Amino acid sequence: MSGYSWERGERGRALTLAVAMLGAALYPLRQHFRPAGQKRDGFPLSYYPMFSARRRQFAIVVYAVAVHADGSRHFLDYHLLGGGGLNQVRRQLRRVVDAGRAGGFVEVVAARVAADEELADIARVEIVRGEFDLDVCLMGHRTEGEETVLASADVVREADVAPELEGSAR
Amino acid sequence: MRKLFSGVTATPAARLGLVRAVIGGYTMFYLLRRRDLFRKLARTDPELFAPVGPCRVLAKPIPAPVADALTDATLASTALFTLGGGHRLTGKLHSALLTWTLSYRNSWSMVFHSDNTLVFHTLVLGAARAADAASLDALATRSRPAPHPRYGWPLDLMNAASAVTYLLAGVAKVVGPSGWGWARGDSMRRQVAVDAVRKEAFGSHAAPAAYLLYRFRHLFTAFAVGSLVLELGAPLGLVNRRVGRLWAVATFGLHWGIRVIMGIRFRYQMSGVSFISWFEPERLLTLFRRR
Repeated sequence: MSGYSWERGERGRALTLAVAMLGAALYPLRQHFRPAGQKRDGFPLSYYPMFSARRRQFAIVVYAVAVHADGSRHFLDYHLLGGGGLNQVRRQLRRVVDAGRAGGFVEVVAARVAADEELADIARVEIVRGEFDLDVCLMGHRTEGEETVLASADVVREADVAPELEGSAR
Repeated sequence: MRKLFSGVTATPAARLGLVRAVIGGYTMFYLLRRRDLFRKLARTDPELFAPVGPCRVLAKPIPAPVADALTDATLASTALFTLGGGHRLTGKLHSALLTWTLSYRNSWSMVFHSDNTLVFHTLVLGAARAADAASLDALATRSRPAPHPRYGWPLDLMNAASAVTYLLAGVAKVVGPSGWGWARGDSMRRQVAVDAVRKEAFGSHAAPAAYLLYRFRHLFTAFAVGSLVLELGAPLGLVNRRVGRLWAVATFGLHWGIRVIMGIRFRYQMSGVSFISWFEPERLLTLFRRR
């Protein structure tokens, strides 16, 4: 090993980087010893909180529902709620609801639905909180929970308002 | 200092160079496919901005055109990093830009933990002499450096960084409310179920295997024990090269298992690129040359 020549300070820099990187990567371990409300995840330094979350038989999920004119309902595709992928949209929606802004948000989503011709059969959008029995859902292969509507907005299309506008112009 | 480095094996420069090129190539593919998504995210409701990592210096989002320019600069630096052009400067610049861009992407209410190791690996490669071979720099200088420990320690450090991330994931499981009872598999089974329900509730589809396997409790016990062994045992892979490779292959399989059961794609890990530093990619080149 002594036969290898190194640049001046090369090994010192390598050692400093190794200690700093591994120390930093291990640093988030301290989050486990903090009170529940004070734990904070980061990037790229994480304590992987999703693995230490308590998992129960019942799960609460906040999501959006499309209501059709005939009263039938289906889950609204996450692409209509925001960008960044399903889980990112899910987190953002949860954050919006926690901040008490579900009312404003559902109006925005309803406007997006109204602008999409392929969704012409959707009459209303709802933001709901659903409680799901995981055993029932997974064993029965059906995603049905007890829903509480947090906010809703009717889908108003141009065709719906046009006659009124024309009438007022006369 | 000499003693500390005596454990580092003299390694061909081509091995480190190829690892750099492969990880850079993966990064290029990953970022290019998400360029539009990043642009869209930069225009998200500012109320949803929750800065992480270096982005915590920001009180509010940066203007969207600046965010776009930084993403494009990261793409440019990724190209230089992959090709190994001006690595002494571009390596460090790329590390900084990639860390920033991925942190900014993760600053919108959701952290994508699967990118952690990519950032660690890039930081090491950016700081090391990773372009002394298999690079534009090497072509320009026509140098053919002999095997040296300076090409080995970055790979060892990358492996150590990987091991630490898995160790932390394992620790998170056993220090949680289930404790060592996590190994029974109930938490994992519930996690699979919650994930399936969330997917359905957001207009997507859960992996068919989630429904198929949910009723088999004992299977989840086996999965949970297996994942804990791999995660908590990850540092053992650093002690012995053969054990390390075995661990890398098993962990690669773990990620594919997660893909099948939960439908979650850990792209860096599933591509195998995340584990390349455990192997000797330059041997493939030798094989091709022989043919």
